[in-house]
Amino acid sequence: MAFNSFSYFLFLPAVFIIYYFTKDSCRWLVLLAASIVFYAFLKVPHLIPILLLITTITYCTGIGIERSNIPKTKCYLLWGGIAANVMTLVLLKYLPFLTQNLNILIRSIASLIMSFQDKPTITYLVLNHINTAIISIGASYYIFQAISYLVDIYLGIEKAERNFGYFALYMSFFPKLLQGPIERAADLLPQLKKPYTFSYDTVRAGMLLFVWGLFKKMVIADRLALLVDPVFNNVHAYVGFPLLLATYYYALQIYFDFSGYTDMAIGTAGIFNITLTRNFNKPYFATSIADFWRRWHISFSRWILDYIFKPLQMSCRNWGTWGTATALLVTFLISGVWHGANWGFIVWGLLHGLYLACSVFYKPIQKKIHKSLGISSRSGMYKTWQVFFTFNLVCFAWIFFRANTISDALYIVGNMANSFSNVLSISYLENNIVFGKDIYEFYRLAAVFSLFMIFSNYINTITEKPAYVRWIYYNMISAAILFLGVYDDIKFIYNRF
Amino acid sequence: MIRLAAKLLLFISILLIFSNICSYFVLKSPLLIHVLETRKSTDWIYSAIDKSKAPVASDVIILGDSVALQMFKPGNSNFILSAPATIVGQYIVLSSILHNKNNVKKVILVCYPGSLLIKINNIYSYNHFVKPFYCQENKPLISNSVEADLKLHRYYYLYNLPISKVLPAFTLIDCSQSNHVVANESYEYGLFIEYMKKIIELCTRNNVELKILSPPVSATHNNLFDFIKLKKVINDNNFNAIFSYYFETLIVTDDLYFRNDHWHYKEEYKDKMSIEFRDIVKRHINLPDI
Repeated sequence: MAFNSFSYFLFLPAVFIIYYFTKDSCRWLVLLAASIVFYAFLKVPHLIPILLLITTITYCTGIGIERSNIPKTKCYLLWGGIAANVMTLVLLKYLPFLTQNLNILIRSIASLIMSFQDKPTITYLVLNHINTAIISIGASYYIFQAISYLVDIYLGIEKAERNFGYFALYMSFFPKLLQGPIERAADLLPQLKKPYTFSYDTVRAGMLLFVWGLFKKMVIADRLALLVDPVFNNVHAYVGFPLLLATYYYALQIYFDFSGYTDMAIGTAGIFNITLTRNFNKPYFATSIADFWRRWHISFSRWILDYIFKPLQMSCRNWGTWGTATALLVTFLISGVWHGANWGFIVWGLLHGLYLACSVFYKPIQKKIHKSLGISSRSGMYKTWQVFFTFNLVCFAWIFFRANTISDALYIVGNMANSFSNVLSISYLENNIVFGKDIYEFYRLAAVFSLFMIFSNYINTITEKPAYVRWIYYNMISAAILFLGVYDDIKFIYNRF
Repeated sequence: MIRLAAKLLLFISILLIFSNICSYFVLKSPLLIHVLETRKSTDWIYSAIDKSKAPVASDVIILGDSVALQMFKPGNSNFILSAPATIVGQYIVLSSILHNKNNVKKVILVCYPGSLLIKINNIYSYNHFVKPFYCQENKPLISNSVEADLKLHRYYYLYNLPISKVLPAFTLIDCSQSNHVVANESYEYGLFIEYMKKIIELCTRNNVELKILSPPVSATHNNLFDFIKLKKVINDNNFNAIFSYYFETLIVTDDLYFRNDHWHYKEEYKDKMSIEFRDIVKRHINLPDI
């Protein structure tokens, strides 16, 4: 069930009413049942058994690690638990990709070693390619949660949860099930256990955040998708400015899509008096790539920092700066792989790893350059340059993330700077800013972004305003969703990861 | 909790009033209609309605569905090409044309077989029928059986509000069942008979000759559609005269030329279908050069 679907608008109030009228001791059961129903609505039969399997394995392993007094057994249990989780993820997400690429490899090797006459026999060597797209919606998120839970128990940071019900709810809590945020047990489990006290202000804040997320998704992200998708799905039909613009549009689309989802998730959890981790903090205002990762998909970047980068850095500490750079490169390569079985994601991850690895070497040189040129790192001009430069680096990586194939991405990179001579003419801009669509599309886009600027100015302070201002605001934002929303059932981008 | 529920109720009521006031002004503003995409993907229906109200120079009028629209030049002001889903929409457009235009001598209705019989409560009914046709002005032309069918829809009671003429939102819910209208369950013979009689009566009253033709149909549609039943219904209801060339000129062609819905032509084959259709029809009817 998607947050922007009609069924969710009926589901959420129904769950809330049942939750409100249930005794504290049974409230977790309401949320768990709601989470299962929510997941079942995706109508993919194998998803719930897999979630149950992962939950059971992690629950038992967690207790096993805690109970065991022998360090070696603890270690085996930890790695066993992690392996089970990772294997499930690999089976769900990467098997089709692995067989496909293995087949290409086998074919190439076989054609090199066999004579021309033997070539037909190559087909017998090829593995059965798995054509069935095994849907793994949400698996990456709850599997990462499971791994962090096991590691935290092993390190003694967290105690194993004894109540299977609470643990299952921690794993499957519906607002964060499909796209995160990736929650730590220490943050979420105590909140699930505490008695519920109804607060009008909290529920109102949750609902407002939900509506704000809906606005971001349906009005901005989905409208941008209508422009971005035709370009990225047929890149060879475009040259120059449209390719550049489509890349910037995509950067905005993915931000509004994902942050919109996160706002809806946090808003939904807020209605039940549960606080989820903030996932975004104005990422495109980051002054460096490291800063970007402190602001973008925060729960995920914290996870890879704590559970991949730090252990890797520790094991490479003897290599000095090279060790840190290698750890960053490997961490972000894994981050790319986590996003899915696609070379584009891998290149995207590698690019971010490369940006960060280069910055490790560049930082000491940067200080010297600044000193010799008399550049103050605190000046507004310099910060603007940093934001601009970082944003463009991020956008460059998004090309590989979004393009359907690596060759499409390379085409965009190779052709986005061509034919720029007409860019400053008004008629050229009129035709190309919305990729040849009618001029009303341009008006819509302008209206949408103007409304975003107006609404975002008040979103954090609206509750302090007089009642009539609040009500005008609520009605305006709802009317904007009704009149300017896109109702084409465009899926959330991060749903597939 | 009671405070929350009361405020939510109040908010929804205010939103309903506020959005209807906004919609009322949107409907009055051509610019806002386009900016807000109130006519998204159905511009041709509104264009047909506008044309049906304007003077027509020609004595031959061609009406048609969305498939026919692909074969003719919509810019030609002598021909009114509409694509209102259901026979009811065709009747309303035709009524509007004949209301003031006494020089019209012949009406050719070009309809895909399935399009003649499509139910009023179908997946396109909100965008193709309710928004453009279901208004106070057309109420005398809408029969009780059509009203009864529309009442089956969960948002029926919102259909007369200005907001229902502006929002694209209900389409999502309407289309949740299926994207294809090829199955025989989507067809309604009662509505076809009722409105075909009305169309014949309207044409007779205005001394207008009526002929119904079909655009080329796909092999899949030909296999799925119950032509025997349609012929029987035509025979039983004495519609033979207006359908005299319908089956004679019917071209059944390869699925290759059709989109996935098996109704509409692929862009690259539109002209080919148009030429084939006109070639075969010219042998029977004096079709103007369109």
